[in-house]
Amino acid sequence: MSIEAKLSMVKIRHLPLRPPAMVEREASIRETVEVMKAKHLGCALICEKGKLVGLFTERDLLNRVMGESVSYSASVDQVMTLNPAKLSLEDSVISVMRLMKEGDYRNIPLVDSEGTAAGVVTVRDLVTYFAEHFPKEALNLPPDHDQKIMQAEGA
Amino acid sequence: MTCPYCGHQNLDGLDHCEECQHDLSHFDVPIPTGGLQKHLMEDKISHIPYDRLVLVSPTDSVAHAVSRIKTIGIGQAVVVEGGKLVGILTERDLLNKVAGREVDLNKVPVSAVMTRNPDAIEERDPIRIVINKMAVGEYRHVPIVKDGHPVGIISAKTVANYILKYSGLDF
Repeated sequence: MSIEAKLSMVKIRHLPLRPPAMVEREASIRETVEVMKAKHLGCALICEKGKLVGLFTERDLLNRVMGESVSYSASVDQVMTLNPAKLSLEDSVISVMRLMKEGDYRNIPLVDSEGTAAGVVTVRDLVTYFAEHFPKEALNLPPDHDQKIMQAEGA
Repeated sequence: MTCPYCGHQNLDGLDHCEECQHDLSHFDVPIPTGGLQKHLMEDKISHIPYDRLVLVSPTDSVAHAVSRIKTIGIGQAVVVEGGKLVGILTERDLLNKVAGREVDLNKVPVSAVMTRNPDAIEERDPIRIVINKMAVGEYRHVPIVKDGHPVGIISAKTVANYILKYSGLDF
């Protein structure tokens, strides 16, 4: 079976996704940043009564807030991406990969059939999935006789 | 694994049979059967187009680094001292260490915010190495070095796109 066929069968809900960072659109940029930090995520889903209305990412923080004359007290809906590209938990892993490539995205919000924010899938979730499902080649490195450890692991 | 010389049941991963001391290390190396597996094991990092590199010094201000990163349109800078890799300054560092604080980024040096001595890979490493490092270390960017000098950086997105490129193949 091709990788494509396998990744078409695996649905997003099968991935071990982390709980998303979510704030209401009236939240300040500072509050949003604090929720992202607490959840160790690079993006926050911006909601209005539970429905997804926007996405705020680390890249938005860099491009629209840092070094710009925007206060962290301003509401996040001024700097979020309105109506971001999204998928549902029932979509496949290959559809995430394609959407990320097409749109150059690293975070895809997930919604249910009513548009209620249900989660987020990140490029890191994908790499973790590959490593866990192609373990012989990725996670369990075979001995490599030419490989020298140049520095301590970590960082 | 079962020792092919004496039949002793060893723990997986041992280099030598505990019973007869025969060398077992070569039995652990998977033989690629083709498809994506072969690409992951044999293609070198240099097969993948690297992301653009922004180099800054540890003594540069964070404001300067942010401005350089934004101009190029990427999400991180590689920090060098005497041409050698000493750190990486990523969006995550900025989120965790400076965002939301009322600090003058012109007065904060890159060295105060960067991740020091990041894990790096070499151009000749196979692609499976970078997948391993990203999964185990939870990194999204891994610098590529040549004799300690950064020559590029590879992102999780690049790795995902690489696997997508070969997704028509069997595993």
